[in-house]
Amino acid sequence: MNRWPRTWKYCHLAALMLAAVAAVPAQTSAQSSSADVLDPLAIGRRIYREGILPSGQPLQGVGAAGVTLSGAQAACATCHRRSGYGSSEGPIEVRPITGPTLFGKLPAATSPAHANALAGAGDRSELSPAEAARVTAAALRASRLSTFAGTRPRPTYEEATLARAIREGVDVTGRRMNVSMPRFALEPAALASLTAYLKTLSEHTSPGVTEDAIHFATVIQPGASAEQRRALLEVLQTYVKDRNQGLRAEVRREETGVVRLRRSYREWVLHVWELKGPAETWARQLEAYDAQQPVFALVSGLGGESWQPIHEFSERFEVPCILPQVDVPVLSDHDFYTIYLSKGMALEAQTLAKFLHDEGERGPVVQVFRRGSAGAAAAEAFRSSWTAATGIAPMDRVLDEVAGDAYWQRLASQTGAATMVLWLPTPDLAGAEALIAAGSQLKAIYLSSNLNTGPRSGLAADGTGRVRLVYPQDLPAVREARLEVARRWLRGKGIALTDERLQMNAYLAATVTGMAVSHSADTYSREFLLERMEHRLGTANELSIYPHLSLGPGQRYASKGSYVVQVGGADDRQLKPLSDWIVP
Amino acid sequence: MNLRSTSLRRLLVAACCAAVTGLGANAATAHDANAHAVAWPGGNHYERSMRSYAIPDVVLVDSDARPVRLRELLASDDPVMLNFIFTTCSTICPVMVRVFADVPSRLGAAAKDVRMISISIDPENDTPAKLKTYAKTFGDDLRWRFLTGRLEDIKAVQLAFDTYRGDKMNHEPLTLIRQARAKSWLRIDGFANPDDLVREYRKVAAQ
Repeated sequence: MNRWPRTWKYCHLAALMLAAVAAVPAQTSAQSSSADVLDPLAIGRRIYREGILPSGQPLQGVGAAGVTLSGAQAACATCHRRSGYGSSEGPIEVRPITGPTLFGKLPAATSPAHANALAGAGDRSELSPAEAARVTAAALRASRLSTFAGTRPRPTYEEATLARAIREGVDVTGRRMNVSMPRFALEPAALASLTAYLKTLSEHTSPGVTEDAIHFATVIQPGASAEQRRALLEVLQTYVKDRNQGLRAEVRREETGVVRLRRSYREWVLHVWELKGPAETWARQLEAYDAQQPVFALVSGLGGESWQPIHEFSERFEVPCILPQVDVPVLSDHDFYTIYLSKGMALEAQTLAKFLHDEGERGPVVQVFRRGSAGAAAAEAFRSSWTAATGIAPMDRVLDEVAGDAYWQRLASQTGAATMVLWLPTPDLAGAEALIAAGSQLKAIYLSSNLNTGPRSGLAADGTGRVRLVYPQDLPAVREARLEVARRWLRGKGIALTDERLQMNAYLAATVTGMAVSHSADTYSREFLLERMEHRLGTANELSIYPHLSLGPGQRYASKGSYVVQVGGADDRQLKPLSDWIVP
Repeated sequence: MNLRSTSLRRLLVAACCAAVTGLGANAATAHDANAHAVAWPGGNHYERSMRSYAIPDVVLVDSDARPVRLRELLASDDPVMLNFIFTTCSTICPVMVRVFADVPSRLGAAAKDVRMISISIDPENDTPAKLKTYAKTFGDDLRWRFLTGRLEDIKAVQLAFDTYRGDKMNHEPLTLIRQARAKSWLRIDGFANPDDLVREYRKVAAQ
């Protein structure tokens, strides 16, 4: 980390909000409880994020076209986003309204003496040489940064001018604001609470970012195999090493003043947060890791079991989690901090229900799964979708033994002319060829791709045309051509392609995080990082196994559909699509 | 919004409309006394032009998951008002949809003839079920249909109406009005308020 001479080192400090890895108190982010009602910051936060007034009534504002917007649609966060850094949409540029941007506060200080020096009030002799150097570097960088970042200098707001902006839509310079900024008839008390909250908004650099480094971690659940773990870490660590090697030249370019695109100049540090033991203990383990070294974000990760404990940690401690590789993500319309690749098993189940329904299938459907497994999550989602679509519930078979030939023969003879869905992983399918042996009346058998990622054999390699896969990724021929660039990257780094899905998903998570960090310039806000991703994912034709990725404000599942394919032996190139890309 | 600015805005809108009526495909360049203060050209008013569009022959899906052949839907004997939206859009669409929601009550007896159509430009997220929930928050109106569809079909429709901007986050406020069985559309770029829209609609319907 201290590879550079001191002066260079300070050049790559991001300056606007210098230091402050201040411990941000853990807040529950979503709905506020009644206990918060007396706290002005909590009241202000509720107005800002949810558009709910202290009285519990919805916030109302008159926006473009004279239209009255109400509640969540009128909430500040809707346009200015949770971070307060704003957004852009078509012709409308939504300005940043963070505490420092509105009130012109100087970079958050690391110590009272530092704060005095930053404010120009203190005597710099109180500072250690390192602190004094930091202050000088910060002041220099702040002035240069404003030109780089294209920020238009404007006078700072005070309470009265802010009130006029919010109520009348007149900015601090006296100019009428864009009509898309609603005018809010806020009561004084509500306005005071909102102002108090705005003063704190994105006031500090997020935890996990130091002067030289951005810390990331990848979370691995205990169920991951040694090969999976190695494959994940190889890709992530190589990406990080690669990125850090590029830093040297960036620093030099910036120092000579020829940088045209602002980038992040901190070194990436990747931590591995390995979880052990039962899921109930994971929260405590995550908190311990976080206490030891807070991270800016969690990148990728592996989990065959429910991601809920990690998801909840991310919500509680406001730590982004970028594209973890999980079968059972948390399905939520309002949670903020985890961006998933897809809805996992639920997506497979909903796709299959839609496919069967559209095919006119109305006969009996039997689904087999193990209780408490990822397959059980799929079975539950399928039951709900299928019942809603057809009015008939599927027949559930819970597997609670080691399924051998006898189990499958018995099942085949009991079910007759049914459609069978096996929400089971590869080891559980041993002997399941009995289902398609001579005399079997089964119409078709559907398997999960998520649960059968390795080489296919036995039933999953059937060549008779009765075995199908729910296939939530691009078809092999298309995928192969598109992913050649990523594959070449792996080859160039000496990484053997052993698990395409896992390695490509790790590569995607790393590159997407890198893109979002670069696009955040020197703004180290976890919320802004997620908002950049919401905005950008899918627009840069990222290399992934999915046909298209996209997010939008509040969207958290990047790939939204799936194919259904027919198996034609063990070779993936023999997969035959039975459907279009289905978005259930 | 205070009264003074509202009346000022109305005046400007009226002036702008008067200036461009009958100018055909030429979009008017509006000069607002406050133009420097707003990001959208012309601010709270809009630009109007008459255009002809070749409607692609695509089958979209409505909020009840029923297939809808767009050409047939638009070939109806009723006048049509059309816009493009997506449900998670935070800045432009809430306004566009709110304006549509306010139109029928201001049209009075003429409301029974109008058809309003909102087409999602984020079709993979905006499933029929999501559109249904979204529509309900703006009042479930039988004259108003929300459509989604396959990604490539939605792109084709946006291209046909010259509103495809590469990415949904680049979209612009646009309303299209077409007289019953007519060939050409009145294109309204920008934010028109419900009264403006009703006035424009009446003008088109009277032609």
